[in-house]
Amino acid sequence: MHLSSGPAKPPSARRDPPGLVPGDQRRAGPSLVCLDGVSVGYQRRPVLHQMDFRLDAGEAVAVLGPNGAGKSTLVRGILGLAEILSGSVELFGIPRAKFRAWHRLGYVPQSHSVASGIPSTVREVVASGRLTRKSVVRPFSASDRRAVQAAIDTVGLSHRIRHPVATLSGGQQRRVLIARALAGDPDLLVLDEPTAGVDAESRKVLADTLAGLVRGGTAILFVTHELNEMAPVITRTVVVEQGRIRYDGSPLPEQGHRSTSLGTADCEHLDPHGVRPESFSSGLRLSTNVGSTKTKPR
Amino acid sequence: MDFLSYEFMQRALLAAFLVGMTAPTVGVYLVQRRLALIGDGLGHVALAGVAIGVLTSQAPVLTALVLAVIGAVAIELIRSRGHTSGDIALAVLFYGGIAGGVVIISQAPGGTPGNLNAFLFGAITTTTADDITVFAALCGLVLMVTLGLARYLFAVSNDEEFAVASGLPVLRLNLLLVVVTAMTVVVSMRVIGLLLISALMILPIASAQLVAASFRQTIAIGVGIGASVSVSGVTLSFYADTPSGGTIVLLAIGVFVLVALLRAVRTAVFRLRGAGRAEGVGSDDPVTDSPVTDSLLGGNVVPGGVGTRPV
Repeated sequence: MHLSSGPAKPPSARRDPPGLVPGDQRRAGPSLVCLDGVSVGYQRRPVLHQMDFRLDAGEAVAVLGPNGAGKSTLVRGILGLAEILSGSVELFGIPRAKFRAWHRLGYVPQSHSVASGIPSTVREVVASGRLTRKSVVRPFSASDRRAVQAAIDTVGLSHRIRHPVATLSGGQQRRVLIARALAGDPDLLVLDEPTAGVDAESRKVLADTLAGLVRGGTAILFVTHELNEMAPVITRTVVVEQGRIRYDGSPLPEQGHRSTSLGTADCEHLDPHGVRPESFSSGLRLSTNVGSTKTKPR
Repeated sequence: MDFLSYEFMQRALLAAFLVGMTAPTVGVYLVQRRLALIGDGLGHVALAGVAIGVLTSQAPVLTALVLAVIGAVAIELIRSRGHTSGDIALAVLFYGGIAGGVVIISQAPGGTPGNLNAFLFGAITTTTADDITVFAALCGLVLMVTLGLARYLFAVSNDEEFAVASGLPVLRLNLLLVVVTAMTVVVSMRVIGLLLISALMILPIASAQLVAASFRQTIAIGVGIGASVSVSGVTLSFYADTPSGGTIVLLAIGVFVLVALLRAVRTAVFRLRGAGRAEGVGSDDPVTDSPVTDSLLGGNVVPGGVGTRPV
C-alpha cells in the first residue's frame, strides 16, 4: 500500500488571509458553521434538539458519541441532507437557504464503498467533486484537471488514478471519497465516520492526510466512534448523546493515547447539563492502556 | 447486400442505427441508479399515448411522447419526494399505462387491442422518411443531454447524497434524465417495440460493464454493441423473416452471454496463472495490477497480494 508522507495542498488551494498563519484563522471572519437553537430530524421527527454549535476556520472538530446519538444527523443537518425543524443554520456567515458557495464545503459520506454497478475510475469519481466549482455550460478545463490530479496526489492514490474504484481496498476507497471532496478545494471538510471499517494502516494514512490538510488551513468536522489515529489531528471535541451536545471543548484528555472511544456506557457518566470541558474531564478517565478502546469512569 | 436496394430497408437500418446508438447512453445512467426497468414503465405509459393518438387521429408518436414525458416527470417527483418507493410508482405506471391503452383504443372507431401490436413489438419496416427526421431530431437531443452533461449525470447517478451536499441541481438533472428516457422509449417503439425497449437500453450496458475499466469506456462499448446488434438484427430479420424487435433483443442477449462466458474463462485463466506465480516467486503481478485486468477479473485487488478477491 502506498503511504502518503505529508499530503501537499493542491496548487489551486486558497491562500491564508494576510497576517494569519494556518491554525490562526479563527479570527479571520464569520464562523464556517453556526447552528443556533437547531433541531434536526427526519419526517418531522427530531433527532437533535435545540443545538447550538459553531465551527471556526482552522479548527479540526471531532464529533463523538454512541450509536444513534445523532452525530451523523448533525452533519446531515448542516449539509441539507436532513430536515431543519427549528432554529437557524449559517454556512460561512450566510443562511443555508441562501448559501451557494458549495465549493467551500467538501463532504465525505458514511459509505463503505464508492463503487457502483458501472465501472468508474478513481479519476472519474474524484472529478465529480470538481463540479461544485463549475457551471453546467463550462467544459472541464486544464485547471480543473490539475485540481483533480492534485486531490488524488493529496490522498496518495496517484498510482491508482486509472483503476476502477471497485478494485481498491476499503481504505483506498475512503481516500477516493476524500479526494473527491478535496477536488472542489474546500475550506471545510466534513467527514462522516471516515475510519469505520478501515484497517489500522489505512487509518494511519487517513490521519496523515487529514493532518496535512489541517496544517494547510482546511477546517475539518468529522463524526467518529473512535479517535484512534485521528486523536493528534483534532483541536476540539464535541460529544453528542441522545440528540444533545453533552460536551464541547478542548480535545479529550490524554488524547495522545493510541485509542480513544466513547461507548454508550461511557456517555452515561457525562454531566447531562454541563458542556464544560472540566465537567467532562472530572467525570471520565480515559484508559491508559495503549490499544484499549474503552473509556472508564473513575 | 441486396437488402440495401430497398428503400424501406434503408430507412429501417438508419432508424435502427439511431436508436441502437442512443438507447445505451441513457441506459448507463439507469443501470447506475438501479432504475433499469423504468423504460418498461414508460413504455406502458407511451402505449396509452399511442391509443390516445389513434382515438383523436393525431400522430401517435407525438401523443406517446407527451404522455411518456408526463409519466416520467411524475415518477421522478414521486420518487424524489419519498412519498412512495420507486418500485410502487413504477408498478402504477406499468399497469395504469397498459390498462389505459387497451381501454382507450377500444373506444376508437374500429379500434381493437390488436392495433397496438406494431407499437408493442415494433414494426421498423413501416418507418417513413418523416419518422426518420423526427427520430434523428429526438436522438440528437437525447445525445446532447446524455453526453453533454455526462459528468453531472454521472455524479448524481453515482452518489446522489454527495451531489445534494455539493449543491448540484439534483432534481433538475434527474428530471432531465427521465425525460430523455421517455424520448428514447418513444423513438424506439417503432424499431424494437414498447415491450422490448428496456432491453436495448440495458443489455448493451450490461455487456459493456463486464469488460470496461471506466465509465467512459462503458458508454463507448455500450454504444458500439447497441448500434451493432440493432443494425445486425434488422438485417437478420430481413433474411430470416422474423420480427426485427425480437431479433435485435435476442442478439443483444447473445452478446451478453458471450461476453460473460469469455470473462469467466479469462478470470479462470488469470486465477490459475496467479496461483502458479504464488507458488513460484510470489511477487507483484503486473498483469493483475493493471486497471483493465482488474476490471476483467471483476475482483478487488488484495493489497500487497498477487490475486484478486471476487466481489
